[in-house]
Amino acid sequence: MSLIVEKVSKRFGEQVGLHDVSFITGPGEIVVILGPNGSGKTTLMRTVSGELPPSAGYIRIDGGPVSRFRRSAVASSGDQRSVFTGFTARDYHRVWKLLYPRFDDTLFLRFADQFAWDLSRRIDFAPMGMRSLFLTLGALACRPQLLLIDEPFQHITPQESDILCDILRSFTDEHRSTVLLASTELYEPESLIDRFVILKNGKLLYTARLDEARRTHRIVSGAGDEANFLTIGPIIAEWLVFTEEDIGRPPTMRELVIGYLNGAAD
Amino acid sequence: MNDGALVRTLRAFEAFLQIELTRKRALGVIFLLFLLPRSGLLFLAVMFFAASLLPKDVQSRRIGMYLSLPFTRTGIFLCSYGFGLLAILLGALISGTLAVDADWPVKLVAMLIFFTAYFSISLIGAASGRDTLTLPVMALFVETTAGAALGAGHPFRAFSVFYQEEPLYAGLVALLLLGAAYGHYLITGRRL
Repeated sequence: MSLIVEKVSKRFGEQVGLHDVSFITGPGEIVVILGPNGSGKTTLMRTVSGELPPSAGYIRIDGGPVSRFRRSAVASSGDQRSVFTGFTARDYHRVWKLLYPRFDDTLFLRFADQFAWDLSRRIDFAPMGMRSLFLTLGALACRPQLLLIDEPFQHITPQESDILCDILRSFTDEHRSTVLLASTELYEPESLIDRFVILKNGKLLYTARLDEARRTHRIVSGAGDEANFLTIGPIIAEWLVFTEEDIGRPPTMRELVIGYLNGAAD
Repeated sequence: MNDGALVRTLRAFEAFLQIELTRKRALGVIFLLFLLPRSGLLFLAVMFFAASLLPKDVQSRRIGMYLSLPFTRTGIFLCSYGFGLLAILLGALISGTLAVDADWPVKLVAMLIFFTAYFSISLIGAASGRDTLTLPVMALFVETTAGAALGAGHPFRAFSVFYQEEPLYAGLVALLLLGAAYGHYLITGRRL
């Protein structure tokens, strides 16, 4: 599944939620939307899911407008891990099966077994980590073409995080589905990320494939005017710069994000 | 609508009913009041019932949980309104079957009109950022006191969804309110 977000803006009255955001993703990619609180991550996810119509610009999924894309081909685990009051895991299972024609019962029951979920337990009373994992994997068992998840690695243990990475990667490889993850603090391991989008105050700071970004950026100790690079932003005592020259060292994902966010603050 | 679309719609409605009946178990108590003969208490029960459906979810900003499933805003509106109609129909049918109310078809029509109007008024209030009951309670107070002051046969009582002296006119008023509530919910709801 391919996704094109082109010059998308979203206004809520006088307030700007998104301003002129563009990026593309290819089939089977895992894309992380990064930015501080209030940067527009959730608004972007809601716009891509078709929940909010953009005020300007357009979104194309597999070449067609979002409105024509079947809602049951998009699954998401909403922000703040909100769940229906009184719902047990079994209630969710039943509702997902009704709403998603491609729901994979075997996969869901395998997850339940793997993570020892008690299906008769109320989800609203479950610990945050279990709730987060349950909603993420439940959405994944719906076998959507587009999976939207908010902070899936927050609140879960390192072991669960490793397993979740494997599950997400095999899901995208097998179904060629696209996964969009929103993240504030970059809990995701670099090995999982194909592409990233950095937002701040509703504006796009930078987007690229991770391998391309690491090839075109360097961490250097000084940001002098004479050097043949474009300074992006400071990272403590060093600088993130844009260059294809073999200077300094390649940045980590975290350094790329911090460099762009710090540079935008300047 | 082809068979596939019809099946998808029915499955979505079934899922919606399951969510509503699990989340709002207290509705079962209100449902028992639908067995009452036509009275002020029955109207009050219907008003509380209407306010506890979609208006309550809009007010508490819980609608995002439905939207994270493959429901559209219009789908949620139709499912919630449809759920209300179904509950009132069942209440009237049961009270007719149990012979609690021999005049149950008249009661059914009256309740459907009143429910439609007060579901709409409550939704307009909730979508405007108010609570779900202030606007309906005010509307009911104005309607009952004005109707009582103006007396039987006054045109106001023909259009009133409480008095319903002319059910056709009252029904039209209810449908107009429903259309207004839907438009308001769609426009303002996108900000929630």
